[in-house]
Amino acid sequence: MAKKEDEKVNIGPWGNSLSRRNVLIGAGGVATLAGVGLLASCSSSTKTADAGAEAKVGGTLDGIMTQQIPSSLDPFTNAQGAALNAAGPCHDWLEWVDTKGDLYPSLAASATQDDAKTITYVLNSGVKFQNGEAVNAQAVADLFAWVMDKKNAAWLNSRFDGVKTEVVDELTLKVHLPKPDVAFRYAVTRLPIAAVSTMAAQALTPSGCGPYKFDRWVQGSYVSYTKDPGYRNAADITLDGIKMEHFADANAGTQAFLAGGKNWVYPSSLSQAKDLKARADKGEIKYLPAEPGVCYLLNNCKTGPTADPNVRKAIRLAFDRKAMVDGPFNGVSRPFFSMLKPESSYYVPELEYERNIDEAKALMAKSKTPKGFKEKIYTPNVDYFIGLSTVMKANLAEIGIDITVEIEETAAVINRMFVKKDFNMVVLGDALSPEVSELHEYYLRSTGGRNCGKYVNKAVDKLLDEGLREIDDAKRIAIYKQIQMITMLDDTAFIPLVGEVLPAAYKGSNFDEFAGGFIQYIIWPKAKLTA
Amino acid sequence: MKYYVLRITGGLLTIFVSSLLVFSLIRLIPGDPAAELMGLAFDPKLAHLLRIRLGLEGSFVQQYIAWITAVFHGDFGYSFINGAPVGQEIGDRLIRTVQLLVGGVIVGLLISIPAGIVSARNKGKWQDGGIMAFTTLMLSVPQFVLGIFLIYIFAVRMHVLPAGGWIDPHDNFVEWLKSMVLPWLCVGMAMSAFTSRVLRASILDAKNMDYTRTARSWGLSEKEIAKKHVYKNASAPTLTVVGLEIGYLLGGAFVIENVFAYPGIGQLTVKAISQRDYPMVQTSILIFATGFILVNLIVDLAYGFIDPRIRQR
Amino acid sequence: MNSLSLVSVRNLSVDFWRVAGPPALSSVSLEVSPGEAVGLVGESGSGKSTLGFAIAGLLDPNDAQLSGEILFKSQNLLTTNQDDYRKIRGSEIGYIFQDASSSLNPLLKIGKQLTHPLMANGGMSKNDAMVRAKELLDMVEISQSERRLNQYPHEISGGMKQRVVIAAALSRDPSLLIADEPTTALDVTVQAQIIDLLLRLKKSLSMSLIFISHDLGVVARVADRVVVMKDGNIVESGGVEQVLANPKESYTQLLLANIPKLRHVDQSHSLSFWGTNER
Ligand SMILES: Nc1ncnc2c1ncn2[C@@H]1O[C@H](COP(=O)(O)OP(=O)(O)O)[C@@H](O)[C@H]1O
Ligand SMILES: [Mg+2]
Repeated sequence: MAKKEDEKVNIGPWGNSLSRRNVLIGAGGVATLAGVGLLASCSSSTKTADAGAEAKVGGTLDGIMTQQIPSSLDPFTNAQGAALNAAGPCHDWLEWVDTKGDLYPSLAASATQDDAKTITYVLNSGVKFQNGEAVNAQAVADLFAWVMDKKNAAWLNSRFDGVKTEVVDELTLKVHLPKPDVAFRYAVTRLPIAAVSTMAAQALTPSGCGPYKFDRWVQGSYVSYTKDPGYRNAADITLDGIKMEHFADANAGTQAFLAGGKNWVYPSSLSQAKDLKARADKGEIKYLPAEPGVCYLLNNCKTGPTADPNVRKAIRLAFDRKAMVDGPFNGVSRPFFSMLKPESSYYVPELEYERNIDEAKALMAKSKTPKGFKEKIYTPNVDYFIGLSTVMKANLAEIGIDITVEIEETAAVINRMFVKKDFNMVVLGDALSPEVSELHEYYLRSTGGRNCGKYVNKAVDKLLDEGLREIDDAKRIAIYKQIQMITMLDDTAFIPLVGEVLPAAYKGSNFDEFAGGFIQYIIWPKAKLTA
Repeated sequence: MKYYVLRITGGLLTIFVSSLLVFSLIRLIPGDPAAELMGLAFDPKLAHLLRIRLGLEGSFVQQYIAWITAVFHGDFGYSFINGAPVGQEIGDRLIRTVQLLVGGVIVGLLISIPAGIVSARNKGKWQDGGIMAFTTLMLSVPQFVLGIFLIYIFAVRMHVLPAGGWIDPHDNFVEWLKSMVLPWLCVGMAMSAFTSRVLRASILDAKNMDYTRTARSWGLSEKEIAKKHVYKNASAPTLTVVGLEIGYLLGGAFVIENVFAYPGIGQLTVKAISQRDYPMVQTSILIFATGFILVNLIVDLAYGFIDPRIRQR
Repeated sequence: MNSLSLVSVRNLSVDFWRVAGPPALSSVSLEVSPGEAVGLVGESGSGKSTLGFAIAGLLDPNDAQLSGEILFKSQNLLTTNQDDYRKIRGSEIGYIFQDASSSLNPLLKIGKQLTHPLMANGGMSKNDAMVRAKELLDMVEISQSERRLNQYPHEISGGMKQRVVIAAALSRDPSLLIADEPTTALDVTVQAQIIDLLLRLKKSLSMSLIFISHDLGVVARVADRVVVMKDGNIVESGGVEQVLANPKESYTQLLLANIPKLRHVDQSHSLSFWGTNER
């Protein structure tokens, strides 16, 4: 056995494949499971590349992206994260935001918030798009105009409503907002900067001004990039290329990662989180759970029994978030009580509460449905959402609410929420934003784009206006605290449940920030391969 | 001859009906391509514009006629999601799925023919018991579990084969071949379970047939009888099963394709359905229906080749 | 216990493993002299076929346990090894089965089926075998024999199929022909033609014949000697005239009584009793 192991090391990972395969094929149909198992037990489990090994310059960073296979590489019209992730390496942004919410200059050498309605971007000079056009103030203004043109159906369109651009000089662009909106710079971090002349071709052949040039996309298999020598900071890029392989099945993707030769898997499946952790403890790999989103229950505030605030409050008090973490999330998530990560400076610890069935029952007794009611929770056909709904069903049964878990395809659930507006309770997840206003605006403003439950509170609207106007951090924190106390504890149209955790693992170094889930972190010039 | 003409007309009719069916079904299930494109960033005004652009505002009949006319001109439309011509993408995927299935079926036959023969020849002995236990296991294990198991053994533990993912055979044929081994094995093993059982039963049946007894009365040895009579006669029912299995494989291709991250047509179709990419779904289902019918036609032809009674009908 | 016997079955018992109850044959003895035609009669299930199969060695040892002796040309077949037995079967014993329609492989051309044993056991070349096959078809009076060789069994009539089976059985000049209800599955008119053919062939080829039937009328025409079976035993045997005219056993009397007006009917057109085909 020891000899075999030597052989393997000498010949390399594929070295003795032929002989074993011949054995297998030769054995033909009579190869029984026992035989296969025997072969497996005879072979050594080769050590995977050491995570701590010396960083190497060059080479291709080869990663596995699971679950969401992109169908388009156009992150301008396609709102799905998969498109942005798959197109990311060829793009650059005016500014980029890290998981903590701090903004960093990128294409823009500087960005200044002149006042709540005005931002000045000053671009780096001499930067070119991959198609040769210059990245200047006019090009960015043109891109903004493209986004604002409804017929282009850019998903950020509504965010850019009424925005005016002013090209001050070759490199300076002033952005005038129709109303105070200090969160606008965060919205701009979602917009890769690309030449308008390339927009029609972005879906299949993305191009921007990022560190890597698009090489090849085999739909359903992989997308690859090569280092762009024309990148503005080309000297900082240590990789020759990036390859992202797409595995629809997270378990299979994780196995492929463990089999070796791949630098990361994102996301792995919840069921493999424990195994990955154990391997990380042994130093084989690095385990890095990402928490890109929050799972929530959205109540309809206009129709059905959930229109009664007492009912909604009773519901939030009945929830057992620990059971949600331990059950569907296999222990790797954590309870959420707001739309923010606890690490955010806008986080309000007072929002946390214990489960309280007695109080929930009392609230139900005071409500318009004191005897309880029957209701459906529309649930996307995703394991952990189904798990969450199952826990909620059990929790709510204790306060007299009889829940049916209605499982539908994600597309159907979204259609039901946004188009048909036919639901009283729906469970879903949304991306956490480091900028406090984003999700609050979407879900809690009476005209918010994702306020499908028709939640209306004039006082909250007013506070949200103030929040967008306020530049002073301390004052802003106080405003959002007020908003959160009202919306998360009293009105509870949107009930946060648990973090939408995605386990991930990688080998290599210098791309630890990968946890944010944004592709910037993987492709950022800091990323290096290990030998 | 009449038999084949009927078969082909029936097949064409089935293709037409399935085109109509899928066209209406994909529109009947809840979900809106525009909403799917925008996801949580849904904006009703944009959605309306998008629907017009995607050609979804006309009546159902108008839409169908427009589509089917285009199809007859070889134009399968453009993907709602990325605007690429559907025919091109489906063509690429189809070739890969055919490569997957043909290789898998060959592996399946390489497994099931010896397995069926060995177990029939050793009926009741340990060889038979072992093979039957193996096939029972294969029948009860879902394909994706088998796939993950193979990956675990050969890729994660032994590091002898890639765990999945597709390699362009034009880039590196040997690596491509290596990458195909596990998917082929997975298809083949799954397929071999039922096929070898049917083959075994058919052989045992054929061994008990009157004509076999007649051949025995002529003093022929068991070996000669097997060669001339038993195998040929047992191959007919087995062939039918292989045809059915290929049909199932076609339908279940996406399972294997998902496990091995193989960019075939099954994976594409499932993805397209979930994204409500109507032109993609319509065309791929059309391809599936055609493939299914084609496979059955080929099986019928082969059956006729084996059995003169069918040929002369 | 005639040493001149071609076949001499002594105390043969056959017990099917899977069947509970009395054995299919219990201690049966039978002599067949060279050139003699023995009729085996008895109701359905009495063990006639089992006896025929046992002699030809067509019972699978996995199915049935055999004891006693079967002497063929003084050689005990039950102690002969399988391979030698097979060779004797191929060259010395011909067998004709009850159901002609299933006796031939539907997927193989008649020529192929006829030539196969000639080539495999008779050591003939393909061409010689083909010539011989054509002769055989002519011998069993099949018209357009050349064309038949290229036809499949389903393309010819039931009577013709039985002629092919007979031709195949006679292909290696056997000294014993066992005909197991060769006409039961055929039309009445065809039955008579087949019987006539068998009688002529028996004479010209000077074979012994074991003719199994439940049709006493036919047996009366064909056999020199009749053996009556019941429940796996031989209940009566003797010359055909004697047994049919003067049955000792009440069972035989019963059999005879069930043939309506046996002696008044043209024997070649006799109907099988117990109504329809025994399958
Ligand atoms: N292969 C077999 N397996 C079990 N029982 C059999 C088999 N062949 C015949 N038998 C039984 O043996 C007995 C005699 O059958 P058979 O010789 O076919 O009778 P006959 O030819 O006189 O109609 C019957 O009871 C029948 O059920
Ligand atoms: Mg019989």
